[in-house]
Amino acid sequence: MRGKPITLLVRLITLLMVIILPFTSGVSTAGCDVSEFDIDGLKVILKKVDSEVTAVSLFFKGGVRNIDPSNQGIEPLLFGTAKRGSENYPMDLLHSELARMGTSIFVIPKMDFTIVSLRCLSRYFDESWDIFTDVLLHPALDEKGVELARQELIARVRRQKDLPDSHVRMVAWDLFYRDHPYALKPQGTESSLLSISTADLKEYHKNQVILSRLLLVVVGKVDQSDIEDKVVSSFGKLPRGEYRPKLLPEVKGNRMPGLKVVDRDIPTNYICGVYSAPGLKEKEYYPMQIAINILSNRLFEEVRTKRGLVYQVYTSLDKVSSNDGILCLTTQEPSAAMEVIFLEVGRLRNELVEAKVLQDTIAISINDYYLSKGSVSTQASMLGRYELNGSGWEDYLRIEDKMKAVTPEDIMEVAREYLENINFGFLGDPGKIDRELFLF
Amino acid sequence: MKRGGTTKRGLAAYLAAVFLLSAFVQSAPSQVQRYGISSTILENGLEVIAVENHNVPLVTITIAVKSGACTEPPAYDGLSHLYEHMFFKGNKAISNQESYLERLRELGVELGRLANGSTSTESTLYFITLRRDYLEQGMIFMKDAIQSPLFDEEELEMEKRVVLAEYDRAEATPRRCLQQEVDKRLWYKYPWRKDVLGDREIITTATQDKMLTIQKKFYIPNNSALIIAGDIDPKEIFNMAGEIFADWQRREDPFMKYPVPRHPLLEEVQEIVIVRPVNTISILIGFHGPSVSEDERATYAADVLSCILNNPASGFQKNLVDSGLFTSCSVAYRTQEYTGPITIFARTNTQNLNTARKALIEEVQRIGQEDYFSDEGLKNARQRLEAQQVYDVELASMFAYTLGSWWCSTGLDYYLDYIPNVKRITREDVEDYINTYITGKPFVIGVLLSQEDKELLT
Repeated sequence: MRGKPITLLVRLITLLMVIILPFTSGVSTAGCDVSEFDIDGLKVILKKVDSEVTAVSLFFKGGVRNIDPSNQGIEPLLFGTAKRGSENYPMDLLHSELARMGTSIFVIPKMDFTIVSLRCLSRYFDESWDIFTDVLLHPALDEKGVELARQELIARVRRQKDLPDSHVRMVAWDLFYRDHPYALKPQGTESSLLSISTADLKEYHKNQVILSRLLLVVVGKVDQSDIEDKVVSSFGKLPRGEYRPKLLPEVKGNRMPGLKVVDRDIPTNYICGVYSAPGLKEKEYYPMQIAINILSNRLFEEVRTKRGLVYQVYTSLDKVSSNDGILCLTTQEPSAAMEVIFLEVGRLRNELVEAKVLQDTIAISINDYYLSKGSVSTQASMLGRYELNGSGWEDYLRIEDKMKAVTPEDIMEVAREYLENINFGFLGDPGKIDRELFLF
Repeated sequence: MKRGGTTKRGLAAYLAAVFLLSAFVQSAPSQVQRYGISSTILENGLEVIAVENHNVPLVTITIAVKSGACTEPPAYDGLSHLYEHMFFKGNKAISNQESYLERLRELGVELGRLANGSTSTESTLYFITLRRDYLEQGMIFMKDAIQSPLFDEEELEMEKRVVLAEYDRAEATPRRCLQQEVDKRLWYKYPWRKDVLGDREIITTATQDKMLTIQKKFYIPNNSALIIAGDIDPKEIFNMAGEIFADWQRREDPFMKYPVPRHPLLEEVQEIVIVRPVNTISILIGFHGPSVSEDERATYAADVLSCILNNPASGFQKNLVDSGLFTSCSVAYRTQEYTGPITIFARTNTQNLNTARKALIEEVQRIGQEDYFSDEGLKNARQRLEAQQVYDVELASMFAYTLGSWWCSTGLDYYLDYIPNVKRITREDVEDYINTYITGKPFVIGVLLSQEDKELLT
């Protein structure tokens, strides 16, 4: 189809409805009306729901794979500038229209992709889509807009260090992902953001915004034919390109326990650990999710409820392609808290969880999953993540079954496999910690 | 609308209704209103609000109590918050926190996203989100927690440690330090009535008696609302609530017996500089805004103005952010019964520090000039607020919580009529609001910066 106008394709599809079936696969899972289709290299996932709100997530694939140290932050800078005005919607008109409709456009840079998302009232979907695609495909990228977007991003990068929670997480992340592509910062660094010129952005937009690099997810009150028409008339002129994501190196097996201490004069101590975890594609992902939920619950009970050592303690699982989990707490008594935490990690590795604990935790995890399905924006984001980092969007609709299949043996196996070699960041008073304790 | 004296719209129609929902429910059947909301008031005064939303098979049970920092005399500074923590401990049905957590897990709930509490200046909220099948058990669980907390001495001592750890976390956050210093000056006569975290010493020395005092005063049905949102049938909810909460005894309205003093007006502009090891410079300006019962119309005008000024196409944003002086600048008004704060929060950098600070103060004073904002900006702001309410309603669990917060400060009717009232806001209303609360009025300005940047401050 390369080079051929997509409109022709759609006309043919409209005329030959029988032929469309093998071309556009509609999948109905658990009563949900989800379909996927491909228009000249642009994959579209559509979930039709009867909602007053419609959400669109456009995934710009690659994330850290698209950047090097010199151009970190180029995607949020590009799309952040685009939000300041486009060919048909100069700044004032753009924001006046967005306000009139109550529509929002967000740019979210992640490790494996940048998401540009749209949230609007369903009754304004047509007009909102028009703005969204004009911003994406025909950004103005004038010098002033670039400078303002740049300053906003630099302020955000600086602010990360002002917030102890995000600072300690960054310290742990950098330690764990040293010499891995995830050490790059999709949101940019101060120096990389300063070095990206307007010409760089225009060049990047021209060469990188190609159909094969995009994934479009729509959740809302929209018909497939409507989306097809819209995609053709907006994205139709983009080249298909030949984007293929590079595989990232494995982290698991290459890490020893680690600790990086940052001396900071603050009223408490912040600790964050990063450890290797199975990715969404792996069968161990769901046992790991349940294992982590059991551990989180036990930590809350043992460290906070019984001993009052922390206000906050939790561990959670990420959804990046080279996956990890994090374990975070704030405490005045880091050594006492860490001792209990490692006891609990050991317990999960060495003792089978009771059937009741497992069943309760599965029920909790399923409720948490349902909670995430409450908004169309979250659904759009999750369908895209499962499509790109998992085995396909269908898995997002099958989470309940996958969780229910987890056994106590699965829990012990993943705990033994993954809950070790944790790399910790510490922010606070170094005099309060026993460093050996962290090298579990 | 006076706090504590909530009247229900259409009460006469209610009383004329023939059938009763339940023997325990007041003779006022519920009225389905906007967003799938219907409500009723039990005989004991507990307002029950049902919000139908069948997106997912979950229900969120929220209990909202009109309690919080605004109700605290100095000797109780921070204890509404400590009380909130004690909600998650033992009660007459469940002896201690371990059993409490165990019971939560049996209901498919754990503390965090599925169950939590929060304390604010005018509200204390508790919620659990669970499968629809567990609705009745969830309601009984919440009833036991709200009606019969034990305040066991040992658990109280343990929870003080947790609350102090939360306190430490807040103090480690630079923005909180800035906010606290501005608030101390903005609410100079009764700062403790706006400070949720409170006083360390008061928390450390808190006793079971003080917890019981708070319970007796505020944790009564006629000072609370039960909000249930999600995959529900409102009729079932009202019947169930009527049975489960029937023995919760009504008492004297605490806001009549212990009136909350009004914050006196600011007398002069005050400026403070807070030095912390930060990489960004933040400026926070605080004004006294309207109180719901004293100037309700101004509360809608306040939201409309904030929305106008936060639009990137507004003159305000162009002069402050597009000019390069600030990297961001936002305006907010918080709807409150006891003087809602108007805040302007902006971030700048070292090069622009002095120019930006001066420009911000001048720009704020220009807001009152004729034609500072366009008719289109006004219309768009009203529409954005309307859209925002649709977004708020989408996620039932969050909405139950949001509604609880509104209920405590404004009552349900205010929320239900919010958009019609916002739509009625005219240019004159916004100008009146600006002239009454902003132009030429005293304010507190705080600047948060590093020691190096402080030396550049002129």
